[in-house]
Amino acid sequence: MKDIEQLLKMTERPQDYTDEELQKLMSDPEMREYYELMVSAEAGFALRKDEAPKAEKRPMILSLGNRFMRIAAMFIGVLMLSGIAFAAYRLVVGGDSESPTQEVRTANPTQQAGTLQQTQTDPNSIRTFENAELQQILQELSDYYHVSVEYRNEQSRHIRLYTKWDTAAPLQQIIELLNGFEKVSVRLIDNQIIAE
Amino acid sequence: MSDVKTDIEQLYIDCYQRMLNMARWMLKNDDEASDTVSDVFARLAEGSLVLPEERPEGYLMVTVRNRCLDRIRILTIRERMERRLSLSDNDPTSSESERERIAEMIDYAERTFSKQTWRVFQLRFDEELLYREIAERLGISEVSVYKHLTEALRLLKEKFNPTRR
Repeated sequence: MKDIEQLLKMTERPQDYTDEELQKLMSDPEMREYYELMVSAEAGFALRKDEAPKAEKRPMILSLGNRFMRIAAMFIGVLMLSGIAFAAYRLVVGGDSESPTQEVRTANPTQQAGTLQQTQTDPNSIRTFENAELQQILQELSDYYHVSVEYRNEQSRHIRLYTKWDTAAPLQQIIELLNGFEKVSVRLIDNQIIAE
Repeated sequence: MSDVKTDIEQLYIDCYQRMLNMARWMLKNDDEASDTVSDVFARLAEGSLVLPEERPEGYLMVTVRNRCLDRIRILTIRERMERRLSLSDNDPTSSESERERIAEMIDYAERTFSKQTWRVFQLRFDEELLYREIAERLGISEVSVYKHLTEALRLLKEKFNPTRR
């Protein structure tokens, strides 16, 4: 029993022990079994959570390796927000002469079933931007919410995004969504969207 | 070329979150999980990873899983213990039967442990509290926390000996 107590202490604070001490304890088959049971216990609770219905509560931004960033015309982020938005965006770097298709359309609620967050939002209020430039999205927002747009960084116009916009949501919420993207910086000040 | 891009983009939208969840699950490190999944898409974009025409999603998941296992294999015992990863090189949740075994283990614990042992067990392995925090939460000594966890592990070992897998 003393050994199990020692194992419990070591698993909580392995940094307090030398490599030799850790290896010695784990070379004992019985202690190893107990350790594996602890790993399984954590996995078991995690499985329970996975099986429970859930929704992303906070925006999640990807961290990206340098190698990934060097790849032209590739996706660099995905964002989910409060079950109403699913977005990815790609940054088109200089030298890419292709002109990607731009499309703005009303979302088909059955499209990508199982991949989008389940939402209670009225599907008719959702608009989907696929590979659309930021300036196109901001123009839509400008027309819809009756605000103006100022670009303090001209390059930001051409950041390409995949995103869903719940037209029933307040503009500030959309601004926050857009700011979830690593390369997008927009602010709402006095009925004006400022893109930097 | 643009069709290929479009295909990759669609896969990205469809699969990214699932791939990331799996990588997080396996590596127990968000940054490494992100890097692993991003690296797979980077290789896809470069053309060094070619997807089969049939079930590319499944192929992507397997690729991420294998890359996670590659990362885990080079971790030291200390690093694995810090993340509470298995010391075996197999993914402990890769098979359905193993997932069932793990789920059954928790059900068994809930059914058979004393109320207090279950609570301590849950606070440790579900909520991941420190022993001191568990003691404070339940108003018991740290020694009692060890005793409850020792009892819990002993009961689980009797019923679910991991070496019998």
